[in-house]
Amino acid sequence: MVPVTTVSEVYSLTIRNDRAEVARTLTWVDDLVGALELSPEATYAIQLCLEEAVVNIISYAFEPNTEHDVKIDVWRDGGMVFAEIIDDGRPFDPRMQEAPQRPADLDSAQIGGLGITLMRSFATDIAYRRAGGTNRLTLAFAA
Amino acid sequence: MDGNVVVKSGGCTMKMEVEPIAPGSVRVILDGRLDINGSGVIDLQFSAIAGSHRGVIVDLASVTFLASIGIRTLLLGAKAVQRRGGAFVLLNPVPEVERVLEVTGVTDLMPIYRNSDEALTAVTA
Repeated sequence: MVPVTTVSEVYSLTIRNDRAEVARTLTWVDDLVGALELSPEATYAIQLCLEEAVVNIISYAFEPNTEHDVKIDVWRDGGMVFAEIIDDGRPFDPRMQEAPQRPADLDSAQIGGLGITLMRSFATDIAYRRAGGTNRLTLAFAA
Repeated sequence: MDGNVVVKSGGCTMKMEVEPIAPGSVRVILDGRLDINGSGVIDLQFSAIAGSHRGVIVDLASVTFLASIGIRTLLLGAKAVQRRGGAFVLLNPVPEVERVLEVTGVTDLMPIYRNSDEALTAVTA
């Protein structure tokens, strides 16, 4: 009998908008490798994209000196794994952010702005919606 | 910094060792994850090394993770070395780390070597 659904349990983590919380997020992904049967490539891609997305949210989404939660849901659906990052910061769709040009030389290389380039490359799909005063960024990966 | 000085820093996330290889040149051996924590651990010391040497080999063989924050560390170091007419090269990144370097265009900006001798020649020539 074919299973009706191949969707896994949804694993959730809530962190504060504090840069020190990023490490906890990456360790949490390490702990999910077995349950979600993640390949080393998928694990790397998920950790990389979560670091880029979460650092971006913590750095830019909120007014200074205000406390907020950022929630991360991860689940597997068949051969894909999804990570959704939910924050109540100012509306921001990273898909609309222009990726920096590939620099011609070291002198002209800009520092920063590479997070979106990495997310576009390491996630197979990026979806965004604004709902109920929250940003919901959903990243898809081959498991 | 050109004596037989071995500098170590960092806790569990990142270690950095500096090995003099020739007058004015060093091999910087990084070990760990160049994520937001790891970069924070080495940033100050890495920039001091880059700011005081004409030849820098960054040995990435034991770096298992590289995010954009770590690229910032490498780019700032490379710019500092180049500004003084020196050479800044990368050695032996693992495949996933190399992919990050390629995607972000870093591979166009600093040479990557697979062989220590060739890297040494490149920074001391």
